[in-house]
Amino acid sequence: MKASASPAFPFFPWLVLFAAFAGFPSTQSRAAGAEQTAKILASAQAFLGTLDEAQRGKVNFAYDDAAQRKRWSNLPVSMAEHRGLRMGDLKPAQRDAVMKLLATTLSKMGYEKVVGIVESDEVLRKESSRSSPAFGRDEYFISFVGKPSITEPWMIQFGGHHLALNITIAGEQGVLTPSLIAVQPAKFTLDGKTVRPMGRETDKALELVLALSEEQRKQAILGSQMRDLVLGPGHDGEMIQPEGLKASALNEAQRKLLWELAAEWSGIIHDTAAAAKMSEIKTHLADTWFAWSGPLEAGKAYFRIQGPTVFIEYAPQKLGGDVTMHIHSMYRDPGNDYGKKFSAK
Amino acid sequence: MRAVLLGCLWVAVSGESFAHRLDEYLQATRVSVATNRIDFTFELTPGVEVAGQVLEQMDPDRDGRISQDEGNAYAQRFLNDLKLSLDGNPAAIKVTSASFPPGQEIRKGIGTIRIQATSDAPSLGAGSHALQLSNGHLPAISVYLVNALQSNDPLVEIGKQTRDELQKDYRLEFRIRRAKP
Repeated sequence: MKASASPAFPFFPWLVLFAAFAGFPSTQSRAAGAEQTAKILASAQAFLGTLDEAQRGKVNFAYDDAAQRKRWSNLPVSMAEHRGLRMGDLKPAQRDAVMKLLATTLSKMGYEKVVGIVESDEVLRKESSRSSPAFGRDEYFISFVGKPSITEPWMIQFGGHHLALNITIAGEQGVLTPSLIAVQPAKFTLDGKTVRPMGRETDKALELVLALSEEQRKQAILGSQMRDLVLGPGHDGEMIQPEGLKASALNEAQRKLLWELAAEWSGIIHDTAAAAKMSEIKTHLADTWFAWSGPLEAGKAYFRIQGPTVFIEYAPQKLGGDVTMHIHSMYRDPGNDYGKKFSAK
Repeated sequence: MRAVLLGCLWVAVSGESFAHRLDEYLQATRVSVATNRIDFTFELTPGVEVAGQVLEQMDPDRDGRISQDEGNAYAQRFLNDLKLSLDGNPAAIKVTSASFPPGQEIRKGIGTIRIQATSDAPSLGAGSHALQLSNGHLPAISVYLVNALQSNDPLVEIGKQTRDELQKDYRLEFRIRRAKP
């Protein structure tokens, strides 16, 4: 796995933002979604075609396997059970097929972020002692929950330390929630380039909080320390009471900053699904809350975006020393985690 | 010899330090309000460097295994360190369930203890109410998170949450709506 496209430069998902702002006609977006699902299905089948029978037995889970659906964590794989196929156990062509599947399922920005997170874990592996938990690009797992299909719902799970992608494909729809996006080290050098897999969200959040008036900031800033995610792994189905500053109190430019910040998570999935999600978030933007805890410095503060269809937490971690180098984040949809809205149809 | 041992310990700790909680005991509380009771979920995760102190309380016979009795005793000791009041009056809180990971997981800093508790509040009538919770359990090593869950009950309206900087002291304002006849 190699970070072929460098996330070092500030990539901006203009296409996705434009599409969501413009609002695709639903027939067009449905057709685009169906086309993307067909491509994802083809990539999934191509990967399955590279596997032997034993491997196929390991990678496939029934759609109603609730235990596998929830078997994800921020912990290294030696500390938390993962099932599926381990990247380190795959042949190069099989690993390439996994990466192609991810590239098809995610946006360019999302794919670069995921590759960056995996590469950061590889840095961790190289810097760790032998007694350390298993880190590195070999320690990620791929699995399917449900049979890949053009019409029926199914899931792709890809994850390991600091990463849990739970992607539900349901006909023309694609859902990325719940997903854990985290990184350590948050900044490293790869092939001579500086890589910050979660750099844009870190910078955009600071831009937003600095764009608030003093009065708005008073409301947004929680008066207490937030030492971790509140709704991290293991908290499916829970939702906390929103706090902070409601976006109805923001001006248009501030709302745009908030929306673009949320796009760093909602835009990880492929562009068509991302555009639909971002349009949905925009619809509910006035009922969306922004909360901040910590200093007004990049990467040193916890923040949360919470609305009717989105829940995002970003929590710098003390472990490892420099909090800016170790970030955990969680992306949820209060009403549609694991695509339950689409699966119920 | 001592230097070698300390060196080994440092390597072990620094290697592990990338992955999980280290020198803090995270106590995360979620509060759920119903019209006649308040439910609490406490998730307690000791970091690897403080796990020994927590295990001393949890596993007094030091056999490395947290028995049902030891677990129940710890859960009760934890609740004894809390102060709960409803509308300014002290309120009782009782354990409804508790689960403990293997001692080995706790020692590694990846084990989370889960305690469910409830406070019966049959006298909660329609109107505004305030709950106050102070957590005084192992304060020297602990960090805290406390949040109210959104209520699915249309009669319950969650209001303002106030915390001190560490989230040891928490106040939740809520309102119970009058049920339509």
